[in-house]
Amino acid sequence: MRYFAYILLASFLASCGPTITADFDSPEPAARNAAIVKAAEHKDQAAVPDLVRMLDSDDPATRLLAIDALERITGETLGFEPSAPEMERRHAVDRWQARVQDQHSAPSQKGAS
Amino acid sequence: MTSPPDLSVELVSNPLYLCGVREMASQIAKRLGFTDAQCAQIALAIDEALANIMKHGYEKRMDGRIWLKMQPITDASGQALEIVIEDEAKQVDPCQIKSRNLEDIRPGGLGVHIIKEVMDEVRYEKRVGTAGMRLTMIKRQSPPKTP
Repeated sequence: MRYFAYILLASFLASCGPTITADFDSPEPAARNAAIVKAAEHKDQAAVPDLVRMLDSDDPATRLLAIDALERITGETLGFEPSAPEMERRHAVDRWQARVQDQHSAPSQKGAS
Repeated sequence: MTSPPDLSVELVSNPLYLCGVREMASQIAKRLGFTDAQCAQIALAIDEALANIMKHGYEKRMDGRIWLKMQPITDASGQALEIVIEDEAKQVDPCQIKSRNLEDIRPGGLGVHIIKEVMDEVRYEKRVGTAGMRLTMIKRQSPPKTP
C-alpha cells in the first residue's frame, strides 16, 4: 500500500514541474534546444543532419547551441558564425549540407564499388 | 560603472519588452562601431539575461523591476561596451552560476552558457544592502589578443 502511495506521490511531483521533451521538430524553442543539448551530451553522430538543420533557425540561441554541438561532435565549425548576417551564414550552412550529403552518399558508393 | 551611465532603462519583468530592449541595445552598439555580428551577440546576451531574470529570478511574475545600463568604456584591449543589468529578484550565490560546457547543461540552464559564449567578460554578484542580483557584461570591439 505504501509502495503505491510513493508511486502516486512521485507521479504527482513529476506532473508539477514543467517537462521538456527533446524534439528537433517541436515548435517550442526549449524542446529544440533540449534536443541539441542531448545530441551534444551523447556526441550523437546520427543527429548531425538535424543539427545542421538547426543552423538555419531564426533563433540565434538555437544556432549558437547547434554549432557548439556540431563542433563537439565533429571537431569542426566549417566557418559557421551563429551571429553573422544571414548571407554569410548561408555559405557555411551550404558547406554543412554538402558534408551531410557526402556522408549520406558515401556508404552506398562504397557498397556499389 | 561608478559615474552615471550614458544610458539607463528601467522595465518590468514582462517579456513584452524583451524585443524592444534587444533592438535598442543592438542599434546603439551598431552606432558605437560594433560589427553586425557583434551587435547580434550583444542583443542575444541581453535577451538571455533578461529572460533568465523574468523566468527564474521573478518566477514569471510580471511586476518585478529590472534596470539595464549601457556605457561605452575603454580598457587595455581598446573600445568596449559595458552592460549592467540589475534586479530585485531572489539572490543566488554567484558561485552557483558556473561557466558550464555544453555537455553539462540542462534545459533551462542554457542562458548563462549562451551569455558566456558571446560576451568577453561576464560577472554575477549579489547587490549589496538590497535584494537582487547584478550582472555585468563586457563586449570588446576587438577580441583580446591570445598569447
